[in-house]
Amino acid sequence: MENIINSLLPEISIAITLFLILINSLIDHKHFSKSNSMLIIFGIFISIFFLLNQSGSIYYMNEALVNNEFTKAVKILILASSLVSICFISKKNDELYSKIVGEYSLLLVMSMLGALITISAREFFTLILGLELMSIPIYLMTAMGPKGNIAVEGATKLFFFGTLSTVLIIFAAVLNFGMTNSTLISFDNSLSSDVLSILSFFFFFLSICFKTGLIPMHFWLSDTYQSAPSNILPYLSTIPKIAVISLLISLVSTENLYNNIPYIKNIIIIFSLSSIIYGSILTLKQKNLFRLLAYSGIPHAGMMILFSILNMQISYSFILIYFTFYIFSNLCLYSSISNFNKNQFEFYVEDLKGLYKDSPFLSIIITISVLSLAGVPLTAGFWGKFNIVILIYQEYGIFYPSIILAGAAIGFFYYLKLIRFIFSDKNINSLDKFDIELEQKLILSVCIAIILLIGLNPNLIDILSRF
Amino acid sequence: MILFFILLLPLVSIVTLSISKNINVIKFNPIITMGISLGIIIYFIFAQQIASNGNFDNLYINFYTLIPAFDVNMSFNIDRISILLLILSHLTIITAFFSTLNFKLISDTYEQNLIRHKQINILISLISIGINGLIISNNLFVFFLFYEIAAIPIFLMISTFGYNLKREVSGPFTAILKFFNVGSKEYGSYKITIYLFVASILIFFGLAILGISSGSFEISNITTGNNSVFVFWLLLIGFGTHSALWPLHTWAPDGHGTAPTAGSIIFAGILMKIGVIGFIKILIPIMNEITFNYSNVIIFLASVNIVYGAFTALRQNDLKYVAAYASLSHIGYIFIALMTSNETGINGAIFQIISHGLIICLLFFTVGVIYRIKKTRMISELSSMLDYSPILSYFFIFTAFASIGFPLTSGFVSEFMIINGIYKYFEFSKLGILMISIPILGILLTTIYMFRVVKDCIFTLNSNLNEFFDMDNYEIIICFILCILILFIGIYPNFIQSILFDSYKGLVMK
Repeated sequence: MENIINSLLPEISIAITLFLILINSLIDHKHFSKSNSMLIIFGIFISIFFLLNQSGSIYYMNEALVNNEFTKAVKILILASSLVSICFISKKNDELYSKIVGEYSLLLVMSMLGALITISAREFFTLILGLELMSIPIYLMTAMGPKGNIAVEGATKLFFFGTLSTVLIIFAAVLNFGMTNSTLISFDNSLSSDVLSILSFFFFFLSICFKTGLIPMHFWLSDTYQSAPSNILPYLSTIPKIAVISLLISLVSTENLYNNIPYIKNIIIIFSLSSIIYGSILTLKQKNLFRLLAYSGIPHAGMMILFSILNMQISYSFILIYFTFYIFSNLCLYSSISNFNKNQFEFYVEDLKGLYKDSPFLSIIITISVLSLAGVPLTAGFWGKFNIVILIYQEYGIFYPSIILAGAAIGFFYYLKLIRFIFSDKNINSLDKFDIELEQKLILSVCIAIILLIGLNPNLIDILSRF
Repeated sequence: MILFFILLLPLVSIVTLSISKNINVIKFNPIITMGISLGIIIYFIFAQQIASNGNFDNLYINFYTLIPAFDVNMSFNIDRISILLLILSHLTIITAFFSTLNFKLISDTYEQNLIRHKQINILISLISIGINGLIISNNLFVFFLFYEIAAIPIFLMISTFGYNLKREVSGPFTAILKFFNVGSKEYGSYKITIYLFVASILIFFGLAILGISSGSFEISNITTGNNSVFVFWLLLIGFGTHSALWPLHTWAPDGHGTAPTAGSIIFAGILMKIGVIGFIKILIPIMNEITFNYSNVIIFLASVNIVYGAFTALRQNDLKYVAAYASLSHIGYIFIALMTSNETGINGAIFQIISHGLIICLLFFTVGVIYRIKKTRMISELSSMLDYSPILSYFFIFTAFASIGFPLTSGFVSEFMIINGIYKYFEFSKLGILMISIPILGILLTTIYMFRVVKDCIFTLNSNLNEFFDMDNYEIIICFILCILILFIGIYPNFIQSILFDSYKGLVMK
C-alpha cells in the first residue's frame, strides 16, 4: 500500500492542487488568476520533486501502472512545459480572457493530470481514464474561446472525433479481453489467432493516430487549431501528443509487443512514412498560418512514432532529445504567435510581413524555433532528425531514411517561407505594433536557450537524464 | 589556436550590428572585423613560417565530443590548402561588405534603410562563419553543419534583397512559366533553395552512410565500405549541384541574376567552390579509387561546362547573366584539372580556385557598380562608359583581360598549368588534342564575349548622354586591392606556391 502511494505521489500532488484551486476560487474572487497560478506553480514543483525521488522500474496496482526511467523523464518534461504554457495562459491582456483565465488554468491542470496517468498506463481502463481526463478539458477549453459560435464548432468537431477514438480504444480493449481474459495491454495471441491481435492493435493504434493527428486521422487538426483560442495552443500542440506517443513508444519497445503481434512494425512504418510525406505536402498548400502550423505537426508526429520500432536501450536519450526539442520549439512558436491580436480565420502567412520591424524580439524567437522545427544544424531540431535517420538506417537500410529526408526537404520550404515573410517589407494588412511583458520575454529566452544549448551539445540530455 | 577565433569574430560583429543604431558602425564594423580576421590568418602564416619552410603540415584540434557513439566531434584541421581557401573567402566576404556600402532600396526611409543594412550585413557575417568553418572542418558532421549555416542565409538574402527581372516568356510553356513567375526574386530564391537543399540532403545522406559504415565521422578515420559507389554518386550529384556542374547548373544564372551584388559575389567567389572543396576534402582523399574510375565522366561534364557556359554567355543581354555564365565556364577548368591526377594539373586547379575567386569578385562588383550608377544592366542600353565613368571603365577592361587569362594576370598562370596538366594526362593522342582544344576554345570564346561587352558598353559612343558619374572612393579602394592581388599572383605566382608547398601532392590519385 505504501509502495503504491509512493509511486503515485506526483499524480496525487497534482490532484490535491486541483482541489486547492477549486477551494481557492470559492474564497478569493479578487485575485483569482494570480493566486491560482501561484498554487499551480507550487503544485508542479512539488510534483517534480516527488518524481526526482523515484527510482527504478516498478509495476504497481496489479500491473495497471508502471514507473520507470523513461516515464519519469517524460513526466518531468511535461510538467516543466506545462509551467510555460500556464504562464502564457494567465498573462493575456484582454478583458474577455481575463474573466475566464481561472477556468483555463483549472482545466489545464486537469488535462495535465490525465497526461501523467496516460504515460504510466499499462492497462486499458487506466489508459481510457487517463486519455479522457486529458481530452475532456481540452474540448472545454477549445469551446470557451471568446469567439463564440466559431469556437464551439471547432470544439464540437474535436469532441465528436474524440469520442470516436474512445470508442475505437474500447473496442480494442474488448478484443484484447476476448483474447487474453485480462484488461492489461498485452495483445497476447497465445490463446487465440494472430488476426485478433492484429485487429485489436490496429484499433488501438488508430485511436492513438487520432490523438496525435497522424495521417488518416488528421482532419480535425486544422479546424481545431484555427478556432481554438490561441493561448491554449502551446499546450494543445505539445503535451497530449507527447504523452500519447511516449505511451506508444514505451509499450511497443519494452513490453515485447513484437512477439505478440505480427506485422506490427509494418503497420507503424506505413502510418509514419505516409504521415511524413503526405503531411509535408498538405502543409505546403496551406495559406492560413494556423492551418499551416497545425499540419506541420503531422510529419513530426510521424517521425516520433518511428522511435517505437527501435531498441529502447539504444534510442533512449535520442527520444528525449526529440521530445525536448519538439516541446520547447512549439512552446516558443505558439506562445509568440498567441500574442497577436488578430482573427485566426483571417491570419494568413503574408500577415507576418514586417514583423521584424515591429517586434524584433518575437521575430527572433519565432525564427529560431522555426529553424529548430525545420531541423537546421546548431539547433536541437537537427539532432532529432539526425539521430532518427542514422538509427533507422542502421536497422532498416536505405529506403526509409530517404523518405524521411524527402519529407524534411519539403519541410524546409514551408518553414523558410515563414522566416522570409518575417524579414521582408511591411504591407498594409500587417500586424499592429505591440510588445510583450518582461516575464514572458524571460521565459521565452530560457526556452530558446534550451533549444540552442542542446543544438550545441546533444550530450546535455544524456547527462541530465542520468540524474 | 588563435586561428580559431576567426569563427567567433563574425559573431562579435553580429552582436554589435544588432545593437547598434549608427549607420557608420553598421557599415564599417563588419569590414573591420573581417580585416582583423584576415590579419590573424596572415599572422598565423608568419608565426608558423608556413611560406618560408616546409615544416608545417597541419594543425588538428578537437574541441569536444558531440555524440560518442558515432565519433561525432567538433574537430577542425588546418592545412596549407585550407589556409589559401581561408584567405580567398575573407577577400570575397570583404568585397561583399564593400558592395553593400552604397546599398539602397527605392522609396525607403532612412530608418528602413538602416534595418535593411543591418540585415544584409548580419546575413553576410553568418555566411562567412559557415564558409570558414566548412573550409577547416575535419568531421563530416562539422562539414555539414557549416554547410547549412552558409546555405540558409543565401535564401533569405536573395528573397529579401534581390532584384525582380523583367523576363518576356514565350513558347509552348508560357502558362507554366507565368505561373512560376519566372524572373522574380521569389522565383530565383526558390530555385536556388530547391537545388541547394536537394543537394544538401544528398550530401548529408552520403556523409551519413560513410560515417556509419566506417564507425566514425572523423574524415581521417573514414574507410570506404561496400556501397561506396552509391555514396560516390550521391556526393558527386550533391557537390556537382553546388558547383554548377553541367547539367545541374540551371540555378546559377537565375540565382545570380536575381541576387543582390553581395549575394552574387559570395556565390561566385566562394559558395560555388563548396563543391570543389568537397572534392578536395572528401571525394579525392577518401574515395580515391572510385573517383579515378569515374574521372572521365567528370572531365566530360566539366568540358561541357566550359564550352556551354561560354557559348551561352555570348548571347546574353544582361551583364549579370554574362558574368554568371562566365563563372560557370571557368569552374569547368577546376574540375578538369582536379581529375587529371598529376601534380601540374592539381596545382593549376588550386591556382584556378584562387584566381577565379578574385576575378569573378571583381567582375560582379563592377557589374554591381554599373547597375548602381546607370540603373540598368542591359548591354543594349549601356554605352560610352569610357567617356562618362572612366575609372569604372578602366576596372571593367582590366577584369575582362583578367578573365580571358591575359599574361601577367593570375588567370594566365592557372590556365597555363591546367593545359599542361591536361597534356600530361592524355599525352599526345587524338583524344589529347581534343581535350587540350577545349580549354583553348573556352579562352577564345571568353575573349569574344568579354570584348563584345567591352566594345558595346564602354567604347560605343553615345553623344546624347551628358551626366558624369563614377565610382566613389570605397569602391575604388576595393577594386584596386583586387586588381593588385590579381596582378601580384600573375607576376609572382611563387608566393602561393610557397604557401602550398607540396600539399597538393596528397590529391594526386594513385
